Amino acid sequence: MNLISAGQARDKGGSSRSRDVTAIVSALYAEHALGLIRLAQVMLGDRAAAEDVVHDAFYGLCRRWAYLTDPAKAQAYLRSSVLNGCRSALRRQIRQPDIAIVGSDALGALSALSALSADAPLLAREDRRAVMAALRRLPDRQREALVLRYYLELPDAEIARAMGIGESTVRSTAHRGLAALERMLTRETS
Amino acid sequence: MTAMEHLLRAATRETAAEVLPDTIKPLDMATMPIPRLSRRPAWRFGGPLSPLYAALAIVLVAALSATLATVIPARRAPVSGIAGVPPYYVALTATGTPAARHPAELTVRSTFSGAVLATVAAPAPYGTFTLVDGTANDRTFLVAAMPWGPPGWLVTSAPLRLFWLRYDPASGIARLTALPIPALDGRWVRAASVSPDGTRVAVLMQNMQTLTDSITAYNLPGGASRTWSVSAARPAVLPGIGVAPGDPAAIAWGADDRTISWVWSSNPPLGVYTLDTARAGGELDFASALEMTNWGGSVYGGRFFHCDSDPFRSANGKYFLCGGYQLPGPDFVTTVPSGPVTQGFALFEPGTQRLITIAGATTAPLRPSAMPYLLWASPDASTLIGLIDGHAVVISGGQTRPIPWPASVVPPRGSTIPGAAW
Repeated sequence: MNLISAGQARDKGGSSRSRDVTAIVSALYAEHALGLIRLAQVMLGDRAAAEDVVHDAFYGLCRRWAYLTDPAKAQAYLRSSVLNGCRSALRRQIRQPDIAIVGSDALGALSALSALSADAPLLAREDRRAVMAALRRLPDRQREALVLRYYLELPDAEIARAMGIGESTVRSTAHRGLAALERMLTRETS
Repeated sequence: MTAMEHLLRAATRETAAEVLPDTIKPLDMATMPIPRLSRRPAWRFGGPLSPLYAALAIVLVAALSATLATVIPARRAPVSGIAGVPPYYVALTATGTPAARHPAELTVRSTFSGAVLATVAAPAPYGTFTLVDGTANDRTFLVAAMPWGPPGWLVTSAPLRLFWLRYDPASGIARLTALPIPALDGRWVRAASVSPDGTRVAVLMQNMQTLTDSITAYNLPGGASRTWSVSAARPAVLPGIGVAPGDPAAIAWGADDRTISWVWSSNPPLGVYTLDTARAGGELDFASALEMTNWGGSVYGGRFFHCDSDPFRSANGKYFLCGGYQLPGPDFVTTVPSGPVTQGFALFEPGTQRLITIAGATTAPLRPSAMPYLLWASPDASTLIGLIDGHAVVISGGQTRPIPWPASVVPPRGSTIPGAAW
């Protein structure tokens, strides 16, 4: 899509500038909302909360439009905002201590490990639920690093920028998260 | 790609695909905020005043260069204190955005006025301060320095050196002295704590090659050390808690100069453990005892209190403290109501986990960017310093009093680099 820069928006006059920015943000929403809501859905597992987080990110972009020096960075800004929003949403959730992966689900997920390849067909519903349940029990940073790497398939440098940490930390965090995930699934089956 | 990676990729993609394109709600234009179209402050280096701005900038840069060449005293603010409240604190500051990314200098500040009393640049060849912690002496602080690597990230494999920072109020000068322990190579130092008698330093770090977390206690002087590492059989899910552990965090010495409390950090925090340093070095999780978890018994006045930040033990061992908020009822709920809630600093009784009181209780809507955060507690927990609803306060003698909190000082939350310590 064609975007005008914040500078261009500032050069226009009066309230029409606000309308311009609002229109741009709406256009960005039309283009990126689906991907961002899907990202939030993976992080939160709650459709309504995912939409709230994404809407807040777009409202935030609107409020801070003047600080966005390069409109091409809007997507990266929005992605970081959604990650922050998911973190905050999770912070306000009290995780139930007794929620556990159902043993049979985890067993299925683990047995699926050996059969999987890059071209594998859809996972069984129970397997997917077991993996996502385990993913959501990881600490924030591990979960974010894994989702950005394996769902969005971002390179480490971009993950580092999105999470505000160093590349080496991304690698160690993802490594640790993956190991923890595997341990959780293995433990439930043993 | 391993089988586990394939499984994770498939699971996340299929979960995402549950959101169908034609089910996306449009943005509510009625609640769309009015865009801010100019930056604040509106500095513009153009137009007829440009030469004046340029000249002013040169004068400022020259003055700053001369000033920052060494450790320098700055203006001294009158300290009109509160009994039991340390008069000074040290903040890591930087000019980058966010400031926590590259703290090239630290400032000694007055607790009560926020004024900068001294500024210290990170020594060569390190160039960056990465950690600050207070000691029992209100004029001595523990700081860590290490090199900063391009393109602006910390080099976690570089050597890290610990220093004492001593501030002399009479001269207004702050000086660094290296601790007599070896430089720490290839380790990411996440936290450090000085024993109350000043003779021992505990460092919580992660080996960047093996990704092993450990706590090492050094004796001063001499540097003899003892290390406890997280066992290879790291628990997948903590017993009785049911959540995967993140990284150890928030270490603090007890008043006995022998025990160290630490936290399995996650969100929310999982539990406070105590390590007896008289025991032989070995496995951290097996050498430590679970003292408190936020999952049970945290009901106060019929409502559940949730610790939002890592709890820690008061130096006298009589309390566990944390910043957090109350839920409307005594039970766990999955979401917090959007209306006003009671926020503050909770004091728990070890053993029973009973919540004794909420200090600085304030009723206000929760803001994710301004969650309650406890910055400092006196050894007996009778005096506290922290952030509530974005404002810094001192709580002492039942009174809550505001203190300045400069915007340039980054609170520890959300950063791997703590920003200020008393």
